[in-house]
Amino acid sequence: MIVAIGLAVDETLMRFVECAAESDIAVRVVDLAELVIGDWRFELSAEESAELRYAGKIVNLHSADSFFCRIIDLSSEHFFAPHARRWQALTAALGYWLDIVPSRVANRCDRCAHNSSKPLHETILQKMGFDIPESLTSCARTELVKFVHAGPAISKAICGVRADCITVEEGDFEDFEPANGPVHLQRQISGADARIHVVGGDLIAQKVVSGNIDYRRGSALDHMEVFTPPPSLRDQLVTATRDLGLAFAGWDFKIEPSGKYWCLEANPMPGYLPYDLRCGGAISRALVAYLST
Amino acid sequence: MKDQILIVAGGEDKVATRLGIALEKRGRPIIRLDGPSAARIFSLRVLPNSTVVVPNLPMFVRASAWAHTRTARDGDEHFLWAEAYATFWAAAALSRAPVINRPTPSGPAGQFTSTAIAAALGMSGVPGPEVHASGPEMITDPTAETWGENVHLQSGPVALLPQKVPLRARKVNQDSLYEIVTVVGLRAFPATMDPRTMELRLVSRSVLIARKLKLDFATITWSIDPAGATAIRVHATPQEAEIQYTWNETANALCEELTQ
Repeated sequence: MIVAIGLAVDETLMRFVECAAESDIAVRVVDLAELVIGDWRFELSAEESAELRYAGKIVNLHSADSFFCRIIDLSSEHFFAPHARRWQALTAALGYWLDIVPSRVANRCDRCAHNSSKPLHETILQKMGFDIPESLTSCARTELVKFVHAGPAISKAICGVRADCITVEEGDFEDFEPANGPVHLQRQISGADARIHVVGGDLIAQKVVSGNIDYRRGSALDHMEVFTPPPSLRDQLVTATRDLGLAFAGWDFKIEPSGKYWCLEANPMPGYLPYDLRCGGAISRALVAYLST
Repeated sequence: MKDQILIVAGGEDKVATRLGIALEKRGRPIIRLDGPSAARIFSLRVLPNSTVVVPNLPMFVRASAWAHTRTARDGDEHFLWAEAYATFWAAAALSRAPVINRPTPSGPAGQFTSTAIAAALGMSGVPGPEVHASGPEMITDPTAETWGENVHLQSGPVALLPQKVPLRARKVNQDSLYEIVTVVGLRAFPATMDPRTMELRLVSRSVLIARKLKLDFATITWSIDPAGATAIRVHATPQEAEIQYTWNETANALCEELTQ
């Protein structure tokens, strides 16, 4: 049995469920929004069982199940403290439990958590052998201006939340106050955008040439094409994904016209729906196959 | 900023206050900031082959640094808080200066996965299996020995804890004795002079656990019964009450670690 854990309103989660159904693979959906107002018990013991009671049903999870997880802690959305604490307690308990089940999990909760701290994430990926664009994270106006002066730069969120990636110029920092920071600047790389999903030992790569700073804005996603990365990169990605403790990752690259690959990040919980729609469901199928094995 | 030591803590953190006084007595100037303010003094530069963090300051980092700052009024304020948190995490993790306790790639020091705890405690006796539940009513067959701690930090026999409040629980031996060992680097200081602490090698075992969990500063609480000793709690941000009996040794060791 595959158990899909997340929010029922999450289209990526439901895409996975639909794909599994098309392959006649049984999937049980655990909607965290329902569960958080229900009851749960996670045993961190040799049996590793869990009992969930919500929406009028009792669901037992077993360590022999495999798990597709898109676990989102919505505690910050709740200003009423008891609700926030329930979210925190539930997601923490789930994380501990998924950490010890011996079966396949895509992905266990804290793996590649450093994606939420971009300078740390970039440093770790660099140590794994990837070429990373130079970056600066700072509140120091003079440093920020100097970085932008030295070459084209973009600004992106440090903490990993999805936010617009924008180009920046020196004048953008004229009225900058440290209280408005910190800011993460990265050297702008020209070339194609690539998203490479790795599922276990499988790899689905797509790329697009777009004039946009953030290719996800506008219609560039509609023009993504499946491609085959160089064998050395393929091997490197499969190894790196495993070394990060991930079964599933969405890697972002810029590909220079010279063919050089610049690694931007490894997403431990990629919202892969738009990419899956444009490759005939190959990502979902790879995930279902991985978790059914 | 030469010779300065950065204490990153909330205003009411007594351990941070006492350590600041101890450092100043040793002639070391300190800067004390909460988490968001500390984040804003750092610049991190990812270069082709390395990452440089400036300023290069020894840091004493406490969870209290963030506890009272997370009161965002709106989404923008929450975003700025998260950006500062992410920046400080990287600065403390990547700084070449001594950092107590240095965050890991998984998050703040002391935020352990159960696998990490099991691996660390494997050599020191694993406490009974733990249960995480939405409330005491979900704990099956609780006995007087089943104790829990809920999200309001209330602890006691599960049957006496309020219903519908999430908790973690496990069996405890109520006849056990307890020892708290404070670890700083490779040194450790037991709170008592009980001979069983020596017999059961709790000092060296505590250091091993802290090393395994990558903690430079922690308290390890041991439950001791005729069968031996079991580590039941690892605390990466010990409170004053836990370390008061060993404060002088602990402060000396912390000062040495931060000024090495």
